[in-house]
Amino acid sequence: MAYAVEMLGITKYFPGVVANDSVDLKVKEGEIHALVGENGAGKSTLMNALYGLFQPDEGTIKINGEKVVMQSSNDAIQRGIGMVHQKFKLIPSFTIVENICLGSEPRKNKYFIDKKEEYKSVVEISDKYGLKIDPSSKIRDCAVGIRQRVEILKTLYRKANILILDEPTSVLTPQETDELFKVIRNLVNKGKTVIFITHKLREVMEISDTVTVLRKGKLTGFKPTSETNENEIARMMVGRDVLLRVDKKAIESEQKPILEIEDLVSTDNRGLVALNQISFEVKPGEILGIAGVQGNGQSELIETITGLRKIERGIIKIRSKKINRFSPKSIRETGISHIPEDRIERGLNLDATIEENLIVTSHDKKPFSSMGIFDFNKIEEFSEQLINEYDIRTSNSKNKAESLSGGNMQKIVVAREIEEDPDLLIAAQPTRGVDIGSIEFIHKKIIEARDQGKAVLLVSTELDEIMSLSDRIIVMYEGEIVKIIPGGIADEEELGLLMAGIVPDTLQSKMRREAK
Amino acid sequence: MKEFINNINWRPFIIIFLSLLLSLLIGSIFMISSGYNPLNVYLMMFQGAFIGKINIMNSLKNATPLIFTSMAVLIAFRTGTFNIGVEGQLFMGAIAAAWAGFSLEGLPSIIHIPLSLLFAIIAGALYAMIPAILKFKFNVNEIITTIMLNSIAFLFTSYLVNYPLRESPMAPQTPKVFESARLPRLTDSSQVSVGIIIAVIFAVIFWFVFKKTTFGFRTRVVGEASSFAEFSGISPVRTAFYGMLISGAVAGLAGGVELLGVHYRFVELFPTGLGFNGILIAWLGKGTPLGALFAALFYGGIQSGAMTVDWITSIPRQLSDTLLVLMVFFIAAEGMFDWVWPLKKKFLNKKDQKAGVEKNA
Ligand SMILES: Nc1ncnc2c1ncn2[C@@H]1O[C@H](COP(=O)(O)OP(=O)(O)OP(=O)(O)O)[C@@H](O)[C@H]1O
Ligand SMILES: [Mg+2]
Repeated sequence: MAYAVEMLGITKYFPGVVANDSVDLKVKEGEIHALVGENGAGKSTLMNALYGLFQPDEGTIKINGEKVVMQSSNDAIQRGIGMVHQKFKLIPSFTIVENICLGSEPRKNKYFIDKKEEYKSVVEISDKYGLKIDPSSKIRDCAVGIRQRVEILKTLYRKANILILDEPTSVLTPQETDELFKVIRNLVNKGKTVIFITHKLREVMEISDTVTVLRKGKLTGFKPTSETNENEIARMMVGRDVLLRVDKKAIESEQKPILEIEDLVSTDNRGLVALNQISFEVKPGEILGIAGVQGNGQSELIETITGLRKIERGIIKIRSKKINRFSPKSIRETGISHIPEDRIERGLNLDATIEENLIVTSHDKKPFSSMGIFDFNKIEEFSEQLINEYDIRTSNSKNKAESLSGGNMQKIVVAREIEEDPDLLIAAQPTRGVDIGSIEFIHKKIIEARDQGKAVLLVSTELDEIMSLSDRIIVMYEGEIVKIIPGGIADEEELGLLMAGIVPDTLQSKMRREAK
Repeated sequence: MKEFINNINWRPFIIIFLSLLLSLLIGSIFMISSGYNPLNVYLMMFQGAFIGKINIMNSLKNATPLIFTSMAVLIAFRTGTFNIGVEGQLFMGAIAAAWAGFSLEGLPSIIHIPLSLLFAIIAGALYAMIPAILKFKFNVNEIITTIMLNSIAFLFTSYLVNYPLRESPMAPQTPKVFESARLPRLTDSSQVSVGIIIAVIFAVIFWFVFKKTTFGFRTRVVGEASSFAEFSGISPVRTAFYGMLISGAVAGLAGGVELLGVHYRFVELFPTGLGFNGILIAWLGKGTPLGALFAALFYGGIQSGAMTVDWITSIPRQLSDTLLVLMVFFIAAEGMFDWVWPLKKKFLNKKDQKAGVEKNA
């Protein structure tokens, strides 16, 4: 069978790093090709080279057997390559339709955008591939999962034949991932080729035909998926065996809760009710997991607690002290730290250095500054310590955050917020986009915090993560708490039903009432 | 040493150099068309700017207010706010300094000068507070309000010198400030005062604040990533508000220093353009205090050079403004110099890069 993509001996230097070191990638036409490797292994770099975002320093690229030199992503699009980036490239104030068609809008009389046609074709594609969206809502009102879909639609709209998906599932729920996989299979059936980056080996086994493994910029594996297994891939990636099991001591906590929420009501960006009279509490030494399909109020809940969203009604208390009208800064000072779900928008300043990103939340405290003047030696010392401990792959702590790979950006946010030493740690999708070795590490850190008597509020779309870490689990559906269950006895099936808003008990009682 | 040179980011320097070259080139088209040899004119200009004590002093005099106004523009800009109102705030500062200078009698210089400057600072800051409040309380665009407030400041000061503060029926101007309020001059032969020293000190302070202090850090975070700032406990509104107040204060000080150092009285035709040129100088200095300091000194020189050219030839002194605008234009369009970088890459051979990698690993 012919190769759709052949990248041979690709080498790419960045200041102080060899991001790709004579890497080969061969993708057959019509296959699903998984590209895996640790954070910073060079996956995105390799794909950016294929998408024409830069030319590799060495090596050749062939598309459908023909040698090509691509000066820009326009060249790549012309050759039928489409890419969904790890960092979204959408315009927040534009609608979904406008974002999808941006730059190649259908015309009416040559000079005017044909809005109707635009809308129609977007709906058509979204139906065809089963990517549900509300075409006229603005991107800034959309959850991360929806933005992801828009990005995929964007490449489909441009008639891509070879689709590069850079970690598409790291922002999706398991259900959404299943849907995406259906979409991908559908695409492949119609003769398209998909290159797919992921950190989840389960997904590699489930969907890919061939897998390529990178490690520290070098090629370490290239095999048909059917001839390998998760353990072997993990070994090729990390160079050691990885145990994805969490060891956790049981803790009985009779202490007063750290966080208390009573009858909380707040609205989403469009002014609709997002939280409908939510009440719960988190005790010291407890991890409270919040499960739910994305967009059922979890984001709004966290933003309300951290002071980033207005409270309509209800009470939020930290150690029995009401913090309803506190600014985000004062809320942090009461001992809350927060790993946000959107690391690019909220969690990082990409223009600033790694050091600056690591100290920003405590930049005005000792030892980083005194009397308003920085102590750069202390900052550097602290940063290097965190870079080591959290295994952030970079050549220099003074590099810009922008130069990091996606997973390493996430590690910066996690490191900063955990090292704040909070009483309450709010962690939203804490392991999004990080490799298996680092997931292990971050989980260990979260449990360590709990064992030290801290309260942890964990929001995750990964059911595995919720089930293995949480002491109690809250299931949210349409802005309400469907049920609170102890962590130990939760099973995946029950959680799945609850997340869809189906409560077995109430169903029964309702039926009984109706029978009378 | 080689490493040191490699670590410097040469890009801005190259861009500025190429912009200057292009501006001079375009300027020479005009000269040739009026029958002058551009090389001679530029030589004349250079001499008029930087050769000889009087010329240097005049250049410094020109630079003084521009250093202040460019700093004023910078601090607001760092927080993401466009203070187009530096001009108006400068006028308010100047008239406040004038009033303090001629109406408070019998003070020793050591008190009178700082007090008058303080009046200027407060006037500028208060005047900047209007657009700041409008923006941060009511979400009114600061660019529009500051432009409007500039006109109001021109008209208001004009009213003051025509009526309440008018010295005599002869001319629309205030009385001269007392000797005790005048900034000491550096020489007898030029109008340059200790204002230039204050200005340079201010530029260095700004550099220090931006580089080393938590406040300077916050202004940058707010300007670069506002929702990240909010998330991390830095209030974007409060920081930008302070930025605007400081901006106004420094603009007011610019007016005060200009008045107490050069003119001694507010006349209806108080020089305009100091604020606007401050915006351009800030650009020319690539948004850094020391860059702006050098840009202001450089432009002060071009201005006095253009004066010399004006006296000797028939090329008008506006030549300096033309060159400034051209340079800023080219610097703003820095993308057009992108063809330069691949050239540099060719010079650095691959071996060097590899060696660098191994050393860093
Ligand atoms: N613009 C850049 N400037 C400097 N270094 C960079 C730049 N982009 C990437 N790098 C470096 O190149 C290496 C590879 O990065 P890349 O983004 O390809 O990793 P990745 O495999 O996609 O990782 P992840 O799984 O975390 O997304 C990293 O060490 C990264 O820091
Ligand atoms: Mg990546």
